[in-house]
Amino acid sequence: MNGPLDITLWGMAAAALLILVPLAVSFYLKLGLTRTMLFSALRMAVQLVFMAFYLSFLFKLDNHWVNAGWMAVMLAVAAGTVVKRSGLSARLFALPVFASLVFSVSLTLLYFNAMILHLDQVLAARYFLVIGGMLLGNSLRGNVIGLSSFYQSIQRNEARYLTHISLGASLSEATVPYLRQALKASLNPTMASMATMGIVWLPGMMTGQMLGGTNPMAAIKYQVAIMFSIFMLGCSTILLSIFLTRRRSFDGYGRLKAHVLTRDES
Amino acid sequence: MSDALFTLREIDLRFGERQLLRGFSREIHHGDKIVVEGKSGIGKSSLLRLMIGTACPDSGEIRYRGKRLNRHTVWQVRQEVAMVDQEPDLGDLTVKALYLTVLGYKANRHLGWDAEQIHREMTWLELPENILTEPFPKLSGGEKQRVLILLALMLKRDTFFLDEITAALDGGLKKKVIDRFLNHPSWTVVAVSHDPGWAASGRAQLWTLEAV
Repeated sequence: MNGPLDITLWGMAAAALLILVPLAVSFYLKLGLTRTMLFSALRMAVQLVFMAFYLSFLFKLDNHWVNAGWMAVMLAVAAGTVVKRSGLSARLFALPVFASLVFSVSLTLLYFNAMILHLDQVLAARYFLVIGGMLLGNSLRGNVIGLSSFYQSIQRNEARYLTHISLGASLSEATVPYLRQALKASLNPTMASMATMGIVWLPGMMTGQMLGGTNPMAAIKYQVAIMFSIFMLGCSTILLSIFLTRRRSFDGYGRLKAHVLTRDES
Repeated sequence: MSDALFTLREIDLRFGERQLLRGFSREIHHGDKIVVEGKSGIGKSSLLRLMIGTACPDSGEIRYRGKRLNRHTVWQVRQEVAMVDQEPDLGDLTVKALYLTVLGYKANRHLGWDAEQIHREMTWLELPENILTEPFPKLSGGEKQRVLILLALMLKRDTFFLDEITAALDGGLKKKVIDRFLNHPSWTVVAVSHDPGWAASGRAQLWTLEAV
């Protein structure tokens, strides 16, 4: 397999020139985003350089324990990010969200490697870490949308929620409408991207494989399989996260605890 | 131990900076008809919320059938008291979907859809038949109140917490509703209302809340 054409240093410098356009726009139109733009761009570059280093190291080492350990670190960071971006209490949510990610991501990943790719070594770094990272990265947004939708709409519609509680609904009966809403909101983006994929946009994974010399038919098979996995994973993590956090987020009277949400968006 | 249905003892309740209740003690017995009066914002609705457990006192004790209201017994109250809220927000459901949702709760499931009762009560409340297919938020204030009175009746409970349920009803209907709740011998009724019709009936104990 031929590697794709490598990009020279001059080529990367040319790429960096591109961000001068948004920077100039921000400056002249006073968007107040100049610093954030620079910081984000720099941060991405540095993080990815590090990633290139540690991935080549991990590929070479290819020790299953190290791979699993690395995966655990990624999961912990992901759980932290989800809780923070959903505006939820870290103390109440960090652990259950981590547990939900560990469980769903591990199962999906092992299924993908064993049942779809038929790998002999399901923990092989090249597949385990790369596919794992891709699944995890794609489930973050859905989790943030789902968890914040669930807890924020209960808080926003507190009167309605409590009316149903007073009419005899149990905690799970009164929260079901918000669970439905959260699932819909978190699954919608994936469904929309599945429906437009291949017409409006070429997904990154497929593009990368084709540039790397894979024939388009093999590349789309990966893409289809990964999208199905992302979809399943999104559904199962959000459901599990809500189930694992629901009990501890309400008091014995069925009222949402005051400090569940760290910021109030209502 | 008294045989009171509800016992409120030395209740203190604050709402933000405002003290609503201080050392409030009362009893409600089976069959009592109580009308709660007082200025707006004085804590009348809070009193109902305390007893149904959607608000908690800062201090004091609430008992239901002799048992202290806590995270176990509060769910029993909610299955035995029919509450009609003021200015209810119930989402975009149609009236029928709302009824089916509430009747679908495990606590109410044994009741079933009693078409005969629903028809009878709709006629009594002067509600048009097609209201069942209307979305709840589209209804007028008076229609919303009647739809919720009907829901409370459908639950076939015998304790009612009624929060300003006649505020948007016209004269004749208002009187019918007041009479129905205050005349039923075995019902226990706690009605919060500004409406003089409730107190004027002479059949209810008056609780007047004062600023503390």
